Amino acid sequence: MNGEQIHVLLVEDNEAHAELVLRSLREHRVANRIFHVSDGAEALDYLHNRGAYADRQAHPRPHMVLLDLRLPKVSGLEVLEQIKSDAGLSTIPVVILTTSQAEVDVASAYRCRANSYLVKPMDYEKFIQLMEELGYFWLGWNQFPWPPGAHPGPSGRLPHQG
Amino acid sequence: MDARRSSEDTTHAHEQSLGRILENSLNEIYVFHPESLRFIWVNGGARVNLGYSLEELQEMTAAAIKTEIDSAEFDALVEPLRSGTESRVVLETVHRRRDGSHYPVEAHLQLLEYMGEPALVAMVLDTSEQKKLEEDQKRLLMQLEYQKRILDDAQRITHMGSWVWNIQDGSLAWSDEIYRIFGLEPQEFGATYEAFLSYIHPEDRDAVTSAVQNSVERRAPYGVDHRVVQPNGTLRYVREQGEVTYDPSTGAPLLMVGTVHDITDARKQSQERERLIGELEARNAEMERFTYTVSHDLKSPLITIRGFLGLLQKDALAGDEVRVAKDVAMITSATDQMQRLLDELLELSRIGRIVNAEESIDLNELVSDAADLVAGRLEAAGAEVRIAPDLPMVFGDRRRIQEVFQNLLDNAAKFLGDREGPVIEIGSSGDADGRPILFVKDNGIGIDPAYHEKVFGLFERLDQSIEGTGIGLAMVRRIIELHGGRIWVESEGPGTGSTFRFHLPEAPPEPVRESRSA
Repeated sequence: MNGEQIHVLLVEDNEAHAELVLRSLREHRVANRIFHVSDGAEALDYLHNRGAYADRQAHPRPHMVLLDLRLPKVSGLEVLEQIKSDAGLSTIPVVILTTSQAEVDVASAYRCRANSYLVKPMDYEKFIQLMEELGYFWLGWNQFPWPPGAHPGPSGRLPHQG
Repeated sequence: MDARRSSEDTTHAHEQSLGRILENSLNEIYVFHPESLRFIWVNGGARVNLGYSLEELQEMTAAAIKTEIDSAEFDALVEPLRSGTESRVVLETVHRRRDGSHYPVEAHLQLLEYMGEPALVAMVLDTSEQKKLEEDQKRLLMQLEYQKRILDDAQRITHMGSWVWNIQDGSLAWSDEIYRIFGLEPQEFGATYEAFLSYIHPEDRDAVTSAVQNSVERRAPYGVDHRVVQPNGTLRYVREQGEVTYDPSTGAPLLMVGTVHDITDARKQSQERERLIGELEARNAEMERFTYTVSHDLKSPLITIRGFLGLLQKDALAGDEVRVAKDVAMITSATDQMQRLLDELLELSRIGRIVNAEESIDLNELVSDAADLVAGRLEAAGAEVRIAPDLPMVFGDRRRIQEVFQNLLDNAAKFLGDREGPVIEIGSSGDADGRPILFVKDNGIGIDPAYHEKVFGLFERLDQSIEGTGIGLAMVRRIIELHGGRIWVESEGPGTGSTFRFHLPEAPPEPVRESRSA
């Protein structure tokens, strides 16, 4: 991990599940800042810096979105579709984190270009383990593309590569 | 040769020739004594047919060769000729041949002169061929009658009539069944194209005339479905098919023949079948959605419970009392959530069908009972409930309809927000196709138009901060649909309040006015 600030947007309507995810990620220090919103409409507002999230400084573009599928108002799939069809947002990795194992959900998530599909484990130990490994993989090992408009520095390397 | 001699010779020759002609005529000629009725002379045609020689016949009387009448009767028959009251007697009788066989004859009897003496002369025609012809004709007529009967019965049983239209002179012929399909007495009046058009449902007339035109002019097969309005107003659905015959040399249309098939019953059956299939498909889809949602929504609190049990262990070991309390609260809330979910699922499974007998319901009474049942929540919300005094009578399952109002009131109370003077109104606003429209209106937080359909979805919860399982409105919709109605919500968006409108059946549905008397 480098010195770059890593931001995660967690979209989860279930307060208890959100709490579980937040605590696990924080304990393993996989992200510097985790922003939590509890429905699809809020998630889109955040990503487009609209309404309550207009302040870009306080609500920076996330490096990854952790997205639940069953969300009030705007469903997880609709949020995913909007992210992937928006030129400015499409490169952000979106990891689906849901209770649903239904084939139809997995298939439609990948059809909408989800980067990964994870089912919340019932077992606490496994839940913690998944969060830890998720953090290491996506925020440690995984290489992020630079956002549009952000050009590589003179060295030709991405800013967060230092 | 002198003139007289020559004249006598000519007369003699003439008589000789005449004699030969009569002798050889195929018609039977009999000459017999007016009193004794004994044969004097019989021509060759008669002798050959009877099988007797002239000598044998000269020993017999005219009555002897007749099978149906005896001498006395025959004598009486010829009496008017002898007395001169009749100049001719025509007789239909039967002759017996020597071999015992018979043949029918028509005899013309006259009193003439033979060899200077009065004699009875019978010119007789063997009518065997004619009789046979008559019988054949009778048999053919009977066959024709029989075929017509078969066709008529087939048309009557299958409700398929037929017609012939002479395009040249405009005449139209209908079979009896068409009259019956059109609700008329068979052959009640002479059919005309104009009369036909007048029985077609006004909205279908253009389609029929253009189908006829298209067929006659473009030689397209004629086929059209349309409605018929019988004189008593009964509606029938028919399918017409037909074809046009053209003059082979000029190409002018001559005749159009076709059928009218009453498809009302078949149509009703296929509609019923489609309705059932649609219902089954909807049920199936709902079942799939249900299984999916249940597995998700039951799993969700389990993850919470297992997760916070893990955290609880950790926090307890670390002696973090604040966190321990929070973990326990999370676990408790998740079990509560599961409990509520299971209770409501049970309730939902019970409304899969109308279980109680349908009855006429006084809504004024039912709505105030429903309001009493949710009085606790209404009071907690500080809501003023206004129930219109003139609610209509409806028809349905009393308990289910009470649940509708209970849930809608409960829902309204939950989403009143924190505004001043919260009010919930219940009333009726007109009707749709005779079904009264009812409403439950609040001045609460309102619903964004984007979610107007979603609010009725099973397990759908727009605001996670307000307790609930997302079953109430789904259940309300289910009950209203089971009663053949529809529910929708009107709200201009957040802060503008919401109005839930729905229809309920007013009275027992009237039997459909489509019956056939045949």
